[in-house]
Amino acid sequence: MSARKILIVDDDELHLVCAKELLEAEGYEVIAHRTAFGATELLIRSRPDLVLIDVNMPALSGEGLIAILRRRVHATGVKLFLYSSNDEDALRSAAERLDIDGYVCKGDPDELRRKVGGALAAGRPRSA
Amino acid sequence: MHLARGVVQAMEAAARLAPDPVGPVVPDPLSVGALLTGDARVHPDDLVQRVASLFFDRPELDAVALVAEDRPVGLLTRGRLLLKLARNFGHELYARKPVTRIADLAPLALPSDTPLAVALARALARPAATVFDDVIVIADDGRYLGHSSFRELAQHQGMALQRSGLEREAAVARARGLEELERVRARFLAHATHELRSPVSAIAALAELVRMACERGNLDQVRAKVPMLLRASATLRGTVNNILDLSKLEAGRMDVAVGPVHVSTLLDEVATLARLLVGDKPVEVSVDAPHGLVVETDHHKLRQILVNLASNAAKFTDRGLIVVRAEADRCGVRVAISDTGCGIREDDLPRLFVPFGQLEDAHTKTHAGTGLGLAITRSLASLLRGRVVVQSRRGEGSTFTLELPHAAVPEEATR
Repeated sequence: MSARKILIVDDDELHLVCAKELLEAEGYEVIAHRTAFGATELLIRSRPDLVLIDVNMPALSGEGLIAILRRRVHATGVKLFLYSSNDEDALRSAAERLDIDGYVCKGDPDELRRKVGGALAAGRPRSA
Repeated sequence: MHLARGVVQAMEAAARLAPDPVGPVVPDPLSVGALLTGDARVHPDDLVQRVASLFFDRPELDAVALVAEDRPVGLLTRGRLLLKLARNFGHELYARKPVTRIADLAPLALPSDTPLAVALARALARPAATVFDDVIVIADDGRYLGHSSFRELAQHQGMALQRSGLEREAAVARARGLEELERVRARFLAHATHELRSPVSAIAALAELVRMACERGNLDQVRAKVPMLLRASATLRGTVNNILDLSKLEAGRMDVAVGPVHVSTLLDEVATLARLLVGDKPVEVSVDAPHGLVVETDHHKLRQILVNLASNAAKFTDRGLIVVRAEADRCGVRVAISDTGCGIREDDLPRLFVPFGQLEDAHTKTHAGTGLGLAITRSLASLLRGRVVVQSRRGEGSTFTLELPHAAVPEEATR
């Protein structure tokens, strides 16, 4: 079975590099992208299993990007997660409001591994 | 409740008293034309006798106008007529009779604690002939305390209505101000949280990567991560310092140590720093300051202000010139830092000095920084009894000017 694929969209290069390395160490194939622009095309082209999206990005915020991605994602079953340094409560309610698969708070490598691992565990179809 | 009901009653009573509008033109309800109470007229040549009988025949008549060829030439009120006649005509009739013969024997008498609006409504509910008479005021036990003119009551009611309107407006404005303050506070907290947590998150992730590299015995990867760790720590330190500085400034807890500051020396130092920050970009940094210019102020704070402004100039200028210029006159000292950088859109100028203003618009968040620098700069300038003004044009560059008094001795420092 080929490695599960993860797309990370984050304007902060340091966070991008860290998340990429942490997840690659778990055996995932990771694609890093530094802006919300082009993320849709990349999503279609690279067909990831999961997308981590930063909230505070210039020009197009993570929430704005998700609004655009959502329609395509429903068809493919790709999982969407917010990935941010924002307050956890704010992230949780944003994830609920956007009706996506969840959120990961930056700064806790264990949480990142656990949540991504859980979401991709059996590749089970997306459910509530 | 009481007041509102009284006002409604008073207005209804007034509406009952007001006659239908005169003539075919419906006057503006807010103008005096809508408040006519009669249109009786006599000719200036009419005899007093005839006019007096007109008043006596029509008890509701308050006044008549003397009209000649449709132009008013005089006014005769019932009071004036009675006063004039009383001496002759009335005297004959009543002089030797008790006053009860000519007085209103059922006047409106109200307890002294009757609310104004109720008193006014009761007064207005009287028959037309006595509607503007004084109101008698009595104590709880019925004792006579005095009387109050209708005009006085009406005037005060008017003022009270105006006042309550103003008070309500003020209360609404206060509530709005508090809401806005709360909104700004919440936004500040959200931004501050994010700006603090972001480098902490990076440090935590980097530390974990270093740990993993150590476990694998991969020293190269450890070496690659350490500079990133140091950078993230420096960012965090800078943000923490800025937030603490701003909090101290806003709480008025920043100490000021005033002493002589040699401006040209300080500007040379600031320019050197700007050159360092400009790095490889084709930007020339020059200083233009009179030698020997000394200002009495806080050296450390002034340096912090100028370093902030110079760092911004270096950050936002990709090519051209940064000029640091000082001049002095009778009013004080001005230090201007001009650049040929990207400039600032006119729309963005108002929130330039607002904490995290840069983050408010995602389009402008293209440069590193916490977005607190200019907020701190402005607060520091006012701490030194000065101010910072900005002139800028998108695409042409910006000039930030610090204006300081010769002796920037703040109150706190003199104590």
